[in-house]
Amino acid sequence: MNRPAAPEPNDDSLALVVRRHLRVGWFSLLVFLSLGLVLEALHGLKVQFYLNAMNETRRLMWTLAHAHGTLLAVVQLGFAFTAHHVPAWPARTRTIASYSLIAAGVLMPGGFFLGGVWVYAGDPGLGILLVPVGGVLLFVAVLLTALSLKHLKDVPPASRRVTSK
Amino acid sequence: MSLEWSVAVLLLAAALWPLAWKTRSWWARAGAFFLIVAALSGGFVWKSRAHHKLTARQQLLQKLPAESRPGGYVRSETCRSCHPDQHASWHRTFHRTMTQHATPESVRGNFTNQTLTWKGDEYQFRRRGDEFFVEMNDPAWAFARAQQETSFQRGLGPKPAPLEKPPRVEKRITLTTGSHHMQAYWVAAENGNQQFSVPFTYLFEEQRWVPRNDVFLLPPDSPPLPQVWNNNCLGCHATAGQPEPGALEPGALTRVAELGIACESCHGPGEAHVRANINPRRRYALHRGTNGDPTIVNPARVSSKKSSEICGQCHAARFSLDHKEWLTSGTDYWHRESIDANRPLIPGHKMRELTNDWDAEQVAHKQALAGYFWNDGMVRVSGREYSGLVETPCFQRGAMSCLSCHSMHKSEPADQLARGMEGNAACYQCHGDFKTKLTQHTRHAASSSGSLCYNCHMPHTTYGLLKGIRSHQITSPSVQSSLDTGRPNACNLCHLDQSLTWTAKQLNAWYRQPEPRIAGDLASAPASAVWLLRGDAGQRALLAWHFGWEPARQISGTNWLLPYLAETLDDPYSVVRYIGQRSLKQIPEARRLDFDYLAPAAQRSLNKSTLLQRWSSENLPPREQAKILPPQEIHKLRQARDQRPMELLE
Repeated sequence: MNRPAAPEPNDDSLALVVRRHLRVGWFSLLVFLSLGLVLEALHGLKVQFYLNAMNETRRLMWTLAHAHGTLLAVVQLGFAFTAHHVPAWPARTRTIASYSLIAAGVLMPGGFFLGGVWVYAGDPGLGILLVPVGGVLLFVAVLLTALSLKHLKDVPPASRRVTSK
Repeated sequence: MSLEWSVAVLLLAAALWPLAWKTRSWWARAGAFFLIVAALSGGFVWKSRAHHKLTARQQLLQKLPAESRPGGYVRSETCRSCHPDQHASWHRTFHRTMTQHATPESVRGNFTNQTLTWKGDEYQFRRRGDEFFVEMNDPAWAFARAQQETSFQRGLGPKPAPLEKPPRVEKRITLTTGSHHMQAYWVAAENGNQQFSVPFTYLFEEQRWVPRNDVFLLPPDSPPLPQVWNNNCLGCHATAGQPEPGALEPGALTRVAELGIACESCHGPGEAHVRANINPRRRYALHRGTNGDPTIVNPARVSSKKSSEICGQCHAARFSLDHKEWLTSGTDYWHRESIDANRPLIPGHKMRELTNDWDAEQVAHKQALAGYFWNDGMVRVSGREYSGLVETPCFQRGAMSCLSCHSMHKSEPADQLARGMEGNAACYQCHGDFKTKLTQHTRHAASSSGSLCYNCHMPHTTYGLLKGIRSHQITSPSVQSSLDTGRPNACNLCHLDQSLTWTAKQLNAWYRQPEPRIAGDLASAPASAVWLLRGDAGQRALLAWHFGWEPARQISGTNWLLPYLAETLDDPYSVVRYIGQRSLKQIPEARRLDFDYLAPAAQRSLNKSTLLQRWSSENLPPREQAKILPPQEIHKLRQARDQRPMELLE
């Protein structure tokens, strides 16, 4: 039976990872749900900077930023939950998955948002290029997390507790 | 580095730095580095492409009439944010696409290295990327030259200098006009935003370029007339245009609320409406209430007279009482006051009295204005439907308006007939009693085209867009009117094989109309053939179109029409030839023949004689043979043709 992997000096401990993703998840949720409220207000007050047909790209980009930000915030919480329940997940891949997910959580909604701040005749601004980068990182994070589930059965219930470094 | 670029790079670095730092794997670090480099390079390429696109667009916009003017106009994209359905239905219409920026989406002409010549001048059409060009004689030079010659002819200026070799220029196409049957193009002046016409128009049905003079009914020897969009077309092909007093001078800076006929053409300036409805409580009160919003005009909620006037801003024959004032203030939305105060309708029935008071310049347009009307004042060119409507009892004494039959938002783009208003439904709204006595009234079978109200009361007696168009002055067929004005009546436009005498007898027997005295050819020969051979150019064009009109061919037969239509192939008016050949191609014997209505005169005559030689009336049943006049009669009618110069300016 495999023991939980001992963290390397540069790896983050399980507790740190869980705490980080809980913080990032809930605060992201706060930020992007607030963005949703702002967008709703822009609709309610018929702000042309957002609703005018000439700004259709901006509306789409910011809606996507809101949707991706909110969804990825929930994924951050899911990641914390998963990491907590898979203590045998090797620290190294867990750290990579963690930072990849956080980077994706910044780059994807951030890219969409920036893409809507500057708009070029129907095309989003440069920020949109951050989105595929975030997409790759999200893929890496999800892949590593999915693969980590093979360690789920290796851990005895007694060892399922958060340990600090 | 721009702010946008800096923010994007900072965000990327902030997101990837912890990952690269924490990952001891060189592969992961290299991957992160690669992502950063790839994003930066992609950004660079993206930015330069976007910059190029933006620059090209800005260059185009600088040459176009500015789409911004005072008066509280907000443009259709603002309307869309609250009225997406109405915006979408309007967006489908040909009103929107009447005037467009020249882009790959709007341009329908063939610009693949086309070289055309007209009156000795060469025109080369080409496309580079998303931009369209024409190489031609400098249109500004041509326009100035035409102005000098006109001034000289009117005794208002010196004799122009001898003709020098005109400068050649390559011009980017800036604007397009039309998107339904044909498309015309415009190029910009060097200074300001004057738009000069390109003297070729692209016909969609034929997929070919034709000289601009050959899509309008104009005397065959009409000189090429360079047109300036700013002081002419802008009045109705844009929303709330302001030409500027010096619209014809170099450097003019015309402005419009929006190109094309957009929301604010009918609903008026929207700024106050937008401002008032920022408040959601007000909006929901309006949604739940039944009253309209007083901050905007809704043509469906104003009186029938007013709603028709809204269409009649443009769909009417009008003239400006003060042309200079119009150049300054332009076409402001007039719903707040009556349009007749400064742009009254041209009273077609008293053109002669009106023109007595005109100055020399106005009289110079008399021929064109006279062409707007039949002798009794009824409009005979398309696009002037309101002028006909106001003369109609249904409008004068009833509640009929344009919206009784048409709809901008609930219709198909081709004719904008409101849903459910096809057939007799439109008339039954007021004349419901005819539902039960239809055949008793029409004396035609219920399913026949003769039982459609509009075929008798709104025949195609106006001309435009290379076809016959329904009159919007609702009348009843009258032989006396046909005799007085030369305007064909509905009966003879369907019963192409019948004489006026026959029609008079039918109308007398069915509706107790007095039988007028009919003399000459119209008494015995098919009236349609007489008008086609002997009429003026406008009559010939209308009849040539009716010879191809499906209901008329079903009633009157087809094959006997050929010798008459053959006479249009060498008509001096190009549009008569065009319509004639189009109708001819519906006759089986002529379907395969290749006619070119713009071929040299000798070729056209040859086409006609070839067609007549190949065709023989012997194969026709005797009943159809009887409808064909002897060749000498046809020749006699042709000799008596009304040769007066005619302009039907649409």
